[in-house]
Amino acid sequence: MEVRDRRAYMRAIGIVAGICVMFQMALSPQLSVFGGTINFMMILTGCVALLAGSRYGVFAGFFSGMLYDFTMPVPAGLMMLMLSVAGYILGSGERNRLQEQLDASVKFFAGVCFGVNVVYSIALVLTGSESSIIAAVLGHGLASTILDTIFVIPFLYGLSRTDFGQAFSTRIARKGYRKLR
Amino acid sequence: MPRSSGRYKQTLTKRQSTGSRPLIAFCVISLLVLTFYLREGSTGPFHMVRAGVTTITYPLRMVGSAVATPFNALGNIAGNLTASEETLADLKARNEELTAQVAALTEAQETADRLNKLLDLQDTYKLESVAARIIGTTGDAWTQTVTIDKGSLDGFDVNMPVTNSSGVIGQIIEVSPTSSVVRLINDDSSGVSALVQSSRAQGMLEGQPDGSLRLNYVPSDAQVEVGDIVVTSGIGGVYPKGLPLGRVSSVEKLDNDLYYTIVVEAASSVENQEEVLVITSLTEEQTATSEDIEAANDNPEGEDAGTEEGSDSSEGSESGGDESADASDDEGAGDDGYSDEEYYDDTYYDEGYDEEVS
Repeated sequence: MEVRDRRAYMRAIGIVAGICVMFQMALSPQLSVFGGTINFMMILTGCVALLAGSRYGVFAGFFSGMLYDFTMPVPAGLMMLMLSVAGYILGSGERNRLQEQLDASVKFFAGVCFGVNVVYSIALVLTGSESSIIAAVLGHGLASTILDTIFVIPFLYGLSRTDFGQAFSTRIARKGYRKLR
Repeated sequence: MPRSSGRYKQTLTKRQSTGSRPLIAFCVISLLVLTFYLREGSTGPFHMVRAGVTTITYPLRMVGSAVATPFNALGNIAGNLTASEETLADLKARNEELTAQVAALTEAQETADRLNKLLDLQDTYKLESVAARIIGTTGDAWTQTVTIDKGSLDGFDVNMPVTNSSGVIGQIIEVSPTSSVVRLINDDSSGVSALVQSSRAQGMLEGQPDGSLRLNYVPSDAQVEVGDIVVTSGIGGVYPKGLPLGRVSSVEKLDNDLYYTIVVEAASSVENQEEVLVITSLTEEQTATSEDIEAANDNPEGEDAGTEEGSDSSEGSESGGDESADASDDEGAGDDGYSDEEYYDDTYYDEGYDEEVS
């Protein structure tokens, strides 16, 4: 059962990753609201971290950030660093809290996302890519945080309603253990 | 054998603690990448990698652009609805400014086109001329005259013909040092020796009180049709021969009339600020020769007057005579002037029409 669940889990992550990458390439450059854009790589990192924990979150964050840095006119390496840390933070604590704590997961994601965007904006100002720290933080950063939070909800909701997520839940694993017995 | 929940919890806790090592490694790698990226400037391996990834993902971007275009339009509408008053005022001012620029540029383009046509006219007819600009009418309600912005200081003199890019417009009648008055061809007292280009029928283009043009003294046995082009004949030595005057708009003749009643539509209309050419002198080729005048006197009705003669118009010198002439053969002839066989009516000169100035 565990192997079959793991495959289903990996397949789901692959689907989420494919959707996020496609949206990042195709839609993200086209959508801008009040100076903010949607960072689907942040969403992907959050989904993987909240689903599978910090280890997978770090990997997802690093490679998602790499894709972001090499497709956007931004300093390379910066988003890699940000999302790696974000993946670790989001994945810390109880694994796969989505099913039981979806709203808390969304709030947690929003907080981490805002922190990433603030630090990222400050870093852009320090590297000379942005001139105004207020505009970067409160304008682009805050708007992007709101958009990321809004768009992560359907992903997290979908992941919380699928069976593969139950394999990594401590409480569900105990139920499965009882069934096997 | 199922594991105990305690061992499973320990295993789960142990798994949750992993990730710090990859995190440290990835942070170091990220910082190195960032450092080298900032050091390499505008070109380097990282920029090349980015260019390659951008190229690979280009199709996805195009798809996204196509999908998002309708929504961008909606976004623009929403943005316009919430646009501030200051933004709207700026846009209105900019719109007015651009509209004025467009109008000015359109006028400049038309001016350029007219000047080019004037140059073409000058080259085609080899006119020795000076350009001037119409600066307005004289304000006299009874005369059809305009004022141009050059005068005697520029070499202008009375009786000099004036043309625009479409054809002859008139003749200078008054000159001052910096301006001149031009009487238009549709003025009541204007008269220009003219001929029908196709049939070479001679006549006198005169202005009428109502501002229209009539080609008078064309014999009734001449071949004149609606649409025929009327040009200057060159007789009198004032206007160069062959310059367009207008086009026949109506031809009438009563049973016992000696001459046609021909109304001509002027080739050119006069506008303020329009560029014109004042012809300061004529070459020999541009004036009618004595042979031309003699020919015109002998055959004022032209080459195909009431006959079906061919192209040898000398055989058709007798008015209303030869039937062998083919009117179609004479079409297009004399575009550059008169043939030797053209004749002019002596009565023109008996009545004092050898000069076009009244």
